[in-house]
Amino acid sequence: MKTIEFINVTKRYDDLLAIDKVNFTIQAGELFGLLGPNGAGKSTLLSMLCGIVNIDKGDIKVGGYSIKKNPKQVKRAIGYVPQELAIFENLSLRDNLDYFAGMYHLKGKSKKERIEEALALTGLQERHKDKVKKLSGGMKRRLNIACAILHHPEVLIMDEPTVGIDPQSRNHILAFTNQLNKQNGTTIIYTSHYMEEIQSLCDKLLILDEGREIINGTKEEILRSVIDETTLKIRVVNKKPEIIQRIRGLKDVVEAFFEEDNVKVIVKSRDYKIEDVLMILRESGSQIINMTIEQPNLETVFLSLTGRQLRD
Amino acid sequence: MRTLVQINKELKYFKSSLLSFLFFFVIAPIVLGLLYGALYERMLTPDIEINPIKIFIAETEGDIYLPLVRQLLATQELDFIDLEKVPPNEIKRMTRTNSSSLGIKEEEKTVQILNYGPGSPEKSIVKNLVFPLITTLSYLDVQNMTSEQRTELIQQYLLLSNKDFTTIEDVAVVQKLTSYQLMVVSVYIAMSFFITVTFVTNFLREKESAVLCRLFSIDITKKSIYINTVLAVFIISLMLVTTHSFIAYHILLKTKFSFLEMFILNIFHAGFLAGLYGACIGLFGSEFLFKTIIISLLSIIMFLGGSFYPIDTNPNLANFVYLMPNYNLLKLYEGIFLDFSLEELIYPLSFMFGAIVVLFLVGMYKFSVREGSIC
Repeated sequence: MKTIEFINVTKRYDDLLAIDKVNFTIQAGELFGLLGPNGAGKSTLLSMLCGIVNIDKGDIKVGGYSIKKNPKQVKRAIGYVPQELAIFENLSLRDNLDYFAGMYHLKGKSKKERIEEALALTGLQERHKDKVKKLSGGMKRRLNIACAILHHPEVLIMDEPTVGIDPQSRNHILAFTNQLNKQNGTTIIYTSHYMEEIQSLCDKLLILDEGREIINGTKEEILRSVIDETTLKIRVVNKKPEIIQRIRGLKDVVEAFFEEDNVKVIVKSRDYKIEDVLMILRESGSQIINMTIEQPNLETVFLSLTGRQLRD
Repeated sequence: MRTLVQINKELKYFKSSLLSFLFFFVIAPIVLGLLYGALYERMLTPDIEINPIKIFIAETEGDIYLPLVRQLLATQELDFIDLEKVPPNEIKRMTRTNSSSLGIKEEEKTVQILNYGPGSPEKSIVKNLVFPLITTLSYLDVQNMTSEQRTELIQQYLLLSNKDFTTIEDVAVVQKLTSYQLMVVSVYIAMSFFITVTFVTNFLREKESAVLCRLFSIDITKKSIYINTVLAVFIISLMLVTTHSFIAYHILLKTKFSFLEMFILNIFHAGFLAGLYGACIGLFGSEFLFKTIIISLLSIIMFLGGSFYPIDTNPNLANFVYLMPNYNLLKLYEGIFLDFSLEELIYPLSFMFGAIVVLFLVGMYKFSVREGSIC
């Protein structure tokens, strides 16, 4: 199993610093998310890992092999799913898989088996004879992935694999990505600018913006390190001013205030007791209409760290 | 092994569009070539049709020249002339009635040709025979000639008028392709360049669709990708060019040539198409830019190299023609059809070989170094 190390990786396109001294490590078997807005440098970073784009400074090592010095060893270990569709529209699904399997040095019986396996995993068996141009966008995306897993790569790099597709295909892709990681132990690097995908799929992640590493760690670590607070938003009828003082007096409550018809209570994420707040409201004679708990998410983390939203 | 995978993939693409390929790169060039050949043939040898002509001749006893004129026009060499004797008082009326005819009469040692209709090639021929004859006779003592002398005089005159085609002259024979051969080959060479355009367009679409990015993430070098893809295009081009040669030249035009020599020429032809393909995929990054430039470039090459018209009709372009690949390929085809010696073909052979090597190497260099814009 291969560990992937990014060591002071820097890339410049003329005046634009696309990647600026990025350092992080991905452990073998991890499902690692790379999050950032469009143009953050995610694709450039992955292109350098795949040996498509040269590294200006620093290095990337996969299982100890440097992409600069031992590109063949690195390339043999990886499967790459580009952001754009990397398939032949005029050929059938099977012909596409057959071509890439040949490029991965597969032949004979093993090639046939791998093609069947990839078709099964991506749910495309029934359409294997169809020309790619007849497929829906979601199916093309799945074929795009199938072409990258034929040689059983130890590391699968998926660059925005769900861009512009229907929810059904997206769910399918997320499900088999998870399956590849959990069942086969494939290390997966998954990039997206959809925060929800990364949050639901990945164990560890790195947030990138304008070519720079913003934060790196497990989901929980990132959320806690930036925002250790949860907001309770309680809509009430018959609100009385004294309840704010009483709520503020509770343990682990950071702040409480009225906002229109709501009582907003900011509490410490780990230790708050919601029963205490509700009891105060009931004792004061306020009637609770509904209540929401606003958990911090990666969107708020990114907002907090960069002052911008992910989809800006 | 990957070369075979690449060739196999290109063949599958070729197979999926087989009918289009056969139509555009085998059938259509033959049809166009034959059409242009027919036009060229007509341009070179315009047909002149000689129709029968009625000649009314009003001969009287005192006429000096008219008997000889009649004797001339009655000879079997001028079989399109229908000679009819008419009374002198009727000749004007009869000639007027038949506007395509001529009337001939003599008055006081003067021969008159009457014409009341529009001119025609036949009338011109008759006039051109009669007037010089009268001029000649005016210097001779015709009245005292015997019948034998008159006959001999007419035969001599006819002989002179025909410029005596029985004489054998030694003229250097210039071997040339027939109009059909010339235009079928020329048009095909021009249209075959579009095999390259089709494959380059396809490749640039792959480039835009990130297929190349995926290939570069596999442990295969850029040079290998380049060589594999150029080789695949070479094989498909060779198949198309060979098929065309066999159908067009062997079956349709029934031209005799050595199959081995033709196959070697087809290799040169396909090699040039593959070399051009290599240079294009190395030099161009976008389909739009490629199409804009290549269409202009091919138009210039076709014009200067005489693809859709016989280049020998435009001597002003003679200086450029030797630098045009289509002209040099045409010369090689001409050499095969007319059985030229190797020495006679050394320039076009060297030119084509040099062009193939240069295009291939330029393409490989540019393809290998364009790191930034490859995907």
